[in-house]
Amino acid sequence: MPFDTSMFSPVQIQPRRLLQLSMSGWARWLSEHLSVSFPSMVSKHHASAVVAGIELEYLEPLRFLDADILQVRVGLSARREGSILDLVLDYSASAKSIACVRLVVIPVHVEDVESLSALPQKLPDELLARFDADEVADEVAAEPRRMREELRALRKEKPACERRTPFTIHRHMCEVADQWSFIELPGLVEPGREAICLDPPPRFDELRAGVSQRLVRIDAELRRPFFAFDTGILVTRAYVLPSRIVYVHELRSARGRNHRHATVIEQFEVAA
Amino acid sequence: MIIQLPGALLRFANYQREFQYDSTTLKTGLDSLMAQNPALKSALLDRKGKIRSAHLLFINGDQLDRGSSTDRALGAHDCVEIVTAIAGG
Repeated sequence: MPFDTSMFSPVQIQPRRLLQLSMSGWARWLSEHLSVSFPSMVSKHHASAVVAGIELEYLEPLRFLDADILQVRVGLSARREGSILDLVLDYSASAKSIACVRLVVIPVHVEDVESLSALPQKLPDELLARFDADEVADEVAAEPRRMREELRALRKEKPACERRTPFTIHRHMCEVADQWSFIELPGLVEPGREAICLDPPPRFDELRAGVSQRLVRIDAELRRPFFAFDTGILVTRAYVLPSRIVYVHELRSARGRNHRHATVIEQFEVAA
Repeated sequence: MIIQLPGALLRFANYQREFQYDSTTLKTGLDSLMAQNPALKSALLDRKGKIRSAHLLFINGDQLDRGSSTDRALGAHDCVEIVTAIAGG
């Protein structure tokens, strides 16, 4: 993928772009390894998949002028008899690994191809049989605990501030079923963080790192979907820790019981 | 009664989220909804005419158990919310 200016912020490649390329890499992997496209997976196999977890780690600093081409290596494996898929994408430039994206993916059975309404169900056997032996884990692999451990550790810390920001899910944030796309999570939480960065509370100027410094990693858990035109509340808490600046975001429904739909943790490096 | 649709189904109802009917039972309210929006029928109901598993019904905030009778009486101020659990896009 040749670099273009829209892929970058002044400090690094945009997280949204890495997630978007992850989706493209996933589609290509399906085509090359399982000989199935996303459309035929839905129309012929009544199968699709939703992203339930995101881990994006930036490994090396990379700015726009540092290289010309981004390369990606994609791996997909199945566990729990095809009820969970792990999609791992390694991004590199100039022969250096610059970022890794890991997506936890839940296969679903599409009940109706018009509305695309669906329910979690393991990948059809016909598709699972096309995986190589080393792409299927028989044992129950350990669930990623990093995010939960991070949240548990943060409970002992006092946030520097909290901010609530209303949002609307517009159609450009959605996929073909008018359901929000995981690709949009970094952009959805950005208004909450940026408002704090640009106007931090007194004595917490370090929080400006959320726009001035490199994002080191994003972890996200998606619990329930939003759909087009839904409204929500973004609750952002900012933490100043000895070695990093952390923003924790909860995306909640603006209606009914204010259900939590997703949690996102962004970690930024501290200015040298 | 008031019937509210989820974002996932709005395209089958000309992007109208809320409908109000004088119906006296859940069943007649849903029938009115689908008579007004014929495209909703196959999206919301399976071949046996039951609500598809991916959609949940809430009445005044309480989830209706799957398999519950739709003959339940409802009044003018009762609110039926249809929630889509997940979509496979």
